[in-house]
Amino acid sequence: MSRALSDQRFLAVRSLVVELSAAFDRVERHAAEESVDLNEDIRWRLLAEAVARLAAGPDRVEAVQELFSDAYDPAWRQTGGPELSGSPGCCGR
Amino acid sequence: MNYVDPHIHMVSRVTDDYEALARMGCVAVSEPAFWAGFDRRSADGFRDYFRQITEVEPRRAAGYGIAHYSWLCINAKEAEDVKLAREVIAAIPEFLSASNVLGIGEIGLNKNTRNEATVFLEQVELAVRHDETILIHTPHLADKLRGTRMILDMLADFPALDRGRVVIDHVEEHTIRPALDAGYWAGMTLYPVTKCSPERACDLVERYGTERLLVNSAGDWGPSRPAAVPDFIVAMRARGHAEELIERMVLHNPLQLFSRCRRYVPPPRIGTPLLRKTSS
Repeated sequence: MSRALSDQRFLAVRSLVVELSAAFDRVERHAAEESVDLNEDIRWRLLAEAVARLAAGPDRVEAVQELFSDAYDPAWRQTGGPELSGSPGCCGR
Repeated sequence: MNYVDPHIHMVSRVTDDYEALARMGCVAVSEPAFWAGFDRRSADGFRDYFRQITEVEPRRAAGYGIAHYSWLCINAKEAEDVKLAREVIAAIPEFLSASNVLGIGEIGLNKNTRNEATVFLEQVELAVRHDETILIHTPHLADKLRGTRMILDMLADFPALDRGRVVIDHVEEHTIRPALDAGYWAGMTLYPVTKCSPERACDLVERYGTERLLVNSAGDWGPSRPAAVPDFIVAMRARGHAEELIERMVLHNPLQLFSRCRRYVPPPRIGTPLLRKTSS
């Protein structure tokens, strides 16, 4: 199946990479015309980092998804998160 | 192929969509309560909405041979007003005996705020008290990873909760594993830009298998494709997956989840034998 998939999807993936390249060129061209520095925009710095992760692999999609995610603090309830509602012991808690 | 869309907001769709879904093999839909695109001003506004998804939509769906199920709650986006949220939560039991109601949902988080978490916990408690199944919305975009982990943290405080009766919805590559590892169902939502695509949903099936995994359109009033589940079927076929495996994902799995609700009656086009086959 993997060989067939690599044949099947080649043009579609090629198209995605071309679209992505064109999108970066397009935004950079317009930014230059409008004197906007994309390096000062965190969103575009994240996109550039995402492309680097995409090129590096493995597990690209998880790496990119995590890049675009807010940090999770396991102690969120002790650091300003919500208090537990209801009475202690309610519903088996 | 017969299929079920386990998450779609038909109140936002035209009747032609029911006809199109029926033509593509849809035998049942389930409709979680959600944000209507504007904040409602009273608990009575929600009562009218609950009547719509327990009385009106089932009739509209039945016209096309589609079974309509629903879930009741106040959604995370309107949960910032805790006083109103508590009035709505108090009203929900009035509707829990409706024959098409599968449980409480889609509760969850949107911006991961303290008020959202408070209302989420109170609705989990409501579900536990009434022995209801639960459908959980996870946030979009940058909020998703943190919000999903917060939801799992809060659910861990309910040791008596049957994880096999809870769906963590809108999972993506970075959130699916913790949901499945904890024993919950995971729902993949096929959206045009955000959430998941049919191809990525196929990837996740190939990586994680079909157990406790659902695929849905979450079709609503925004950019969305009510026929996204058939798109997934086509994508799975293009990769050479067996019809039996695809059918498990789009038909047997959602019905297996629905059968965990004590009021569940199988879709008329499926009937009792399938219920016996898919019940765990």
